[in-house]
Amino acid sequence: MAKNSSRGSSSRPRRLAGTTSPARPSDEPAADRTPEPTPEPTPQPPGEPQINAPAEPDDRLLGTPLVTRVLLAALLVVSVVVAVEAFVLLRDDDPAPAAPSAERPVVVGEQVFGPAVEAAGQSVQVLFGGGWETYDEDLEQARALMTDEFAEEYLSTKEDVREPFVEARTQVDVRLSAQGVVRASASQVQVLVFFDQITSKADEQTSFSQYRALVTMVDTAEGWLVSQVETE
Amino acid sequence: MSRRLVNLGLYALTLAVAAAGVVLAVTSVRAEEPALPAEGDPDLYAAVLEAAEEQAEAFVNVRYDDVDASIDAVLDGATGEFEEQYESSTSSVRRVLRQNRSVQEGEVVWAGVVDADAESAVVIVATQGTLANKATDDQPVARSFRLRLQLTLVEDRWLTDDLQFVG
Repeated sequence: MAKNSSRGSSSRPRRLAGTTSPARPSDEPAADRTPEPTPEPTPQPPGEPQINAPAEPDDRLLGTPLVTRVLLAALLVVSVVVAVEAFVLLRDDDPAPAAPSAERPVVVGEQVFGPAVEAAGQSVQVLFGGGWETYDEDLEQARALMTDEFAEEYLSTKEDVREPFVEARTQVDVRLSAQGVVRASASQVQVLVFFDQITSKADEQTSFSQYRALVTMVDTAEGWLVSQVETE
Repeated sequence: MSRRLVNLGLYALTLAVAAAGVVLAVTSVRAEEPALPAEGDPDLYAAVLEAAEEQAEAFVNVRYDDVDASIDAVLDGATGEFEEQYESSTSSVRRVLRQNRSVQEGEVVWAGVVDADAESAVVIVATQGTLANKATDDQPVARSFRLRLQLTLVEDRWLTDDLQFVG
């Protein structure tokens, strides 16, 4: 704030250019005292007494219309730059999801595909294992691990083999040997699963079979579900 | 409101917007920094899968009438203990292949990464193919394998230092 001009109606004697401040009585208010040390005033031509304005140059400048215009212009420029930066950043933050390709089959990190690989191994044990005494329960458990489309295919096959499976009092145990990620995106993961089937029947010797399966898992609201299985 | 107050407000606002711009710029630069080779690096998985598939194909394609090329192809992608073991058995491999007139051909069906980091990886590979020899009357019979390869990064090449059949 600009200081008040000393041209007011104060009865205090004016301080003229070329003169030094007289010593003030000690009973004057402290605010009225001249700060020490006092710079020597610039000599002025005689006969032209000039009042020494107390307002500082910065204060005078800050209150001018020119400063307002300059600040408005600077604000406009800075705002435009920030708006452009924000646009670029927001656009980069939402890139299209990468799709796996032959050159880059895995486009997401283990944090994403890890649970799908784990789920594939567990699903294989349920889908390819089971016992004649728990046939329906096993089917129900398996149904919860797959998509509707794959469930149709799977349940149809299981219905076809139900009678001979139960009649032979079949028990199939599945042992996982290894599993690894083949392709992976955020929404679909293909997992190679090596597993063994140990099959025992009432009137037959226990048999042992080795399998390799490509299990396709899809990310759904219910978690990672099996959408396809190819075996070799 | 005096012009001085208005100008002070404009000054403060300009500084605040400029500061926000600096924060955005720093955020933007950090977002564009390339990912370090690690478990989540897509190029890492591509590289180890390619190397494992190449080695598996070399391993399952051996023929008695071009035995040196077959062995060299395997040794080219081998290192460490696997290289030593395979190299030490080459004389017996040559003899058995020639005696039996063995021709084994195969290809990779699927390969999956079990584990990988910037220096080592484990890959499982499923192959299918045929084997023809004296025992099959030189008729090809189906032959498939489940392989587990352990790879190590050696001077920018993924080489196999262990190869096992998954029984």
